[in-house]
Amino acid sequence: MANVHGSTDSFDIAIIGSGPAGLSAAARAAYYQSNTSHILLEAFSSQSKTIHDYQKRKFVMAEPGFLNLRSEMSFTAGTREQILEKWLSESEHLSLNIRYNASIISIDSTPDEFAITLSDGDIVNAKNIVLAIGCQGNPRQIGVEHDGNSDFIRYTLSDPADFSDKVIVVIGAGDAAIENAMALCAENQVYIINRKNEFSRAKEGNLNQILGAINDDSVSLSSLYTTTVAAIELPDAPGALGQLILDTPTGQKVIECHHVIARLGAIAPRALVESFGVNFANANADALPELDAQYQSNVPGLYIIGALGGFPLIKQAMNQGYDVIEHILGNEIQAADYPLLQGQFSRLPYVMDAEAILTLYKKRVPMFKKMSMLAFRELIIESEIVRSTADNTLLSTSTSRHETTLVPSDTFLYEKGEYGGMFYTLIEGNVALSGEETTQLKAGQFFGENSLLSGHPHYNSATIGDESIVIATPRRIMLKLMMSNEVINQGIDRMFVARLIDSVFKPELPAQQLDQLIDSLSSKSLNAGQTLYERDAHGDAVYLVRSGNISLVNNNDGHNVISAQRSAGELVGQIAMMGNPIYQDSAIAAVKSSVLVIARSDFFTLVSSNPQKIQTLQGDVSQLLKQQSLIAASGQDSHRLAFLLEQGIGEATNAMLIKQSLCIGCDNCETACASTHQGVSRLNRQIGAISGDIHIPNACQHCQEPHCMKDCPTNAINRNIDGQVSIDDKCIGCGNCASNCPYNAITMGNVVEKQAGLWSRLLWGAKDVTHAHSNEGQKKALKCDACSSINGGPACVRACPTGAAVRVNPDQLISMLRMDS
Amino acid sequence: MQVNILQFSKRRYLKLSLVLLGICMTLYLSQTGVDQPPNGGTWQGYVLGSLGAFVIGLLAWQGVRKRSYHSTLGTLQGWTSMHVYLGFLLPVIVVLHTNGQVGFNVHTVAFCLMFVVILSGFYGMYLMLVMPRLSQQNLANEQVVDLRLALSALDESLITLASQGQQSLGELVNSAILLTETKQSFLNRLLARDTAKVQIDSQLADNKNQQTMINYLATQIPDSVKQKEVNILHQLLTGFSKRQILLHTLRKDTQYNIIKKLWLTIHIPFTVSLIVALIGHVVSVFFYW
Repeated sequence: MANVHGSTDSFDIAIIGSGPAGLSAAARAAYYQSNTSHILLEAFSSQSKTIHDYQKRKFVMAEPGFLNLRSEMSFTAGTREQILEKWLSESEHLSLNIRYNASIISIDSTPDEFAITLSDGDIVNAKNIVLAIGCQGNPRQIGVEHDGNSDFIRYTLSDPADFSDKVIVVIGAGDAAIENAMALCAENQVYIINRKNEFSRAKEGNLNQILGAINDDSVSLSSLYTTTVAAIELPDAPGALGQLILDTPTGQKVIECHHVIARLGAIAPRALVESFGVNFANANADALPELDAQYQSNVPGLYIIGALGGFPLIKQAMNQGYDVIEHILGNEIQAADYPLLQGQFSRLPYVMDAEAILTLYKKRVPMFKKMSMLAFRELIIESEIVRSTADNTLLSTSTSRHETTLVPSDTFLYEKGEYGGMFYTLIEGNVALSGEETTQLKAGQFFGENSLLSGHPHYNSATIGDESIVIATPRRIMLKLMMSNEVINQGIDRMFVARLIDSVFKPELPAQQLDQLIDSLSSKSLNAGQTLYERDAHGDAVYLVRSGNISLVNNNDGHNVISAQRSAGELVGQIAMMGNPIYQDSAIAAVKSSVLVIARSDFFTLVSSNPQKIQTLQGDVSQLLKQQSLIAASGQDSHRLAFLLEQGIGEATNAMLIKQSLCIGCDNCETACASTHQGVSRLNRQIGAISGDIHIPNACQHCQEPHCMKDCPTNAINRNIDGQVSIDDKCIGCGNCASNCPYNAITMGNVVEKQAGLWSRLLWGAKDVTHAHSNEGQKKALKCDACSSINGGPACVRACPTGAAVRVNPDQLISMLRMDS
Repeated sequence: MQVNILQFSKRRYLKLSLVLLGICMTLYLSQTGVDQPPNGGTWQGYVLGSLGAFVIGLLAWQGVRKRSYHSTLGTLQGWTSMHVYLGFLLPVIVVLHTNGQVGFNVHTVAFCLMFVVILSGFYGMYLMLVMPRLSQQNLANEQVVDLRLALSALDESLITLASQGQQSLGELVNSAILLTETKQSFLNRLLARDTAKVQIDSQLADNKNQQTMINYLATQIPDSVKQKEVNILHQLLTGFSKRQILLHTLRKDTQYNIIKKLWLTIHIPFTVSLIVALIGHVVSVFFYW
């Protein structure tokens, strides 16, 4: 029943998108084909476009390992080619009804069914729709006759090495078009067609490259500006020349070429999906569509599964494909992750069905009531359920992942000064938060949010009481939830602010007044380099740093010098609150930061409610003034500070620095790193910025808010209690972290299996340092982990014969600056 | 906050060496008595000799410790500090042990080898303290990798520029760049010799420091009439001056790198020979006295 063409067809279920989610759904629907008809609509000429566009021979992994696959289609870790081939043969074997080249223009709902209009004008009717279109978007097409993927016209370039001695036309002016053109022009004659008269959208590096290449007569790259495609003439035979007819400012021009590569950007699916009537959670770019526990959107009969619904992993998507068909057909099934849920609750002190416990917990916590059931379910499965008990026999039994974690009663969940990667919610029992004072928390409250939001160590310690139950949720899951649920985001943020105010001011105000004050506070976000306030401006407000790093800039005889840096939990501009209400310096964000704005009057309300605190605050100010004037007075010191902050040390928690006057360039630091890290150095001493006596080599800084952790699909990147950020075995080598890191501290590569032993290195000079990586096999993300897994601390520092290498925390920066004294 | 190996840990190893020095002096001076002069065969001599042998072993162990990246036995900086101070102490111990007795025998061979090791060690220590600053001044906040890239880019631009002028100019510039001779013999690299040449009128001329090219360009400019030609010559002059600096910087850097490694080619093999001779010395003393 493949490739059915007709002007109007009617089906029970229409599945849109032939990625893993769509294929799995179609396969399950095909299982029921005796009483249910289905069609799978795919916009392109082949299956699974996103995976199809992966690089050749890319190794695709099957995370999460603990999840079982429940689908008619199979899936195991393997190369891109193996997986696509398997799915293609299975879809033929299972007689999936797939219609290719069926791009969706619109969906209209009538009382009985949906009418799906395709780009070729046909209409497909369906009672139910499963949207599995993923998040990659559809590449924009050229828009003339004969357009569409073929040997002549492509929308991606997987391997430039496939082309040599050809004439190739690249259409587009963005980064992808430029990168493709640059890669091809070494071996081919390349034309690049730009519909504007400049490459305005490109990254600076790309822009320089392409302009250089265009102007260089020895490079076979020419560009046509203000030019669009009028028509395409396909080649007569494979390998022959086709024609591209162009509209240029000087009339029509024909280029004969072997291939056309169109990189015109992608149309993100959100607008399309909203045009179907689907509501998204909020206006943020990362927002997800609102779905119920059965994947149904607010449009009855329209279901969303896979990456579009917020589940980017292949196995999850395939399970959802299976489940959604069962839901549509009204079959009661237990979720594929039911055993996992059971496991999570397995050692709790009551006997109840796992689904019942899930429902109960959702009701217990005010914040959870505001989540969708699907999101809450994922939260529970990805979190750790912790129960404290005094029962020693129970404690001595071993636990595995996905079972309730048992801890002794009255122990620390975290201690003050530790870095936190978890967000905690108290379900039952009690937890005590102890800093300068102790607060008892009740069931339904959450804690641990300050380390989550500021990337700073905990301000207090948390002790779990007796027979208490806590949900410990990893950072990534929590952040994802906050991004997709505005109410939860605000709730957690409010608590974060309240606790921050409390720790800094210890205000003794009546509860209602304090609440009102906190409710009225606003936050301000700053990009790196943005000014918070200017020197000599009137001091209207004081700022409390929520996250990031703010530089204080003084004027030293006409020169601007950085004299201090303020990080999370510290006040900025409080000098203007005391005495002369003018800011004595300018405040500029060193890295992306967020501050709480406290108006003058509110500041005084907070401060005067606790007179004892005034002394502490004033003491802080004196200390800051002393430090600032010393640094500002020494041009060298402030220059060094400025250099360090410019290089991003402001957001580091553990950065490597090399003192140039001691470094003999022996590279023992690199060798030590490689030796202790499977033969691959995570440090590169030969690159990195130098200013005067300080060299910042290329190595991970363990940022306060790790850029790498943002998009890790398997949550393989973790921060331990001492703050070091490391990547564990769950890494699938997707490269998101390497792309996100602004310091190029992560490399994708392979480790060395067998390293040279000590004596062969000593006697025969065998080497085991490598920066080079082989291209075979599964690449993983490799970076510095501050040697958290070995004894003694960072190997690079211990192996430096002259003591030139050190690792610093920015809090030590100021004392470090006085290096020569 | 960061100190060098001599100042390490408040000069802990200097203090240790001074204490040991005191002990050794006391031992040596306690060799009073008329039956024999101070020598390696008295009990004090044996103690001094054993101490000397132990110190030699400990100093040699530096090579092993340097490569034991998992070791938490102190830090390498601490070991290097100890190495340097004990290295100062060792000749004193050994001279006190021998009381200056030398002859044509394996004992003196060991003695001499030890001095070669120690003297090369002094030089090495001097290099470690002085080289970083020399290197820093030479490179001036640049990385060598970036300088090499800059040189390649500069050369390409000079060739392109010259090709826009007269043919003879193009050939001249091409030859100056091709004959820069960046691949040098070991001696030339060690002495940072500039053997650049240039081909003028089919004759090979010296282009040390790119000076010949610079002089040529500087004299051509006032002679030229056409504006375009003058522009090209001017840009070439700027380019070749930059080239002079870049090449000089890279040559110096190469020189420093060679020197940093060269002293070790004396220090290490002689250490190994010393240990062999030392074993010979100890064995012969105990079995052949």
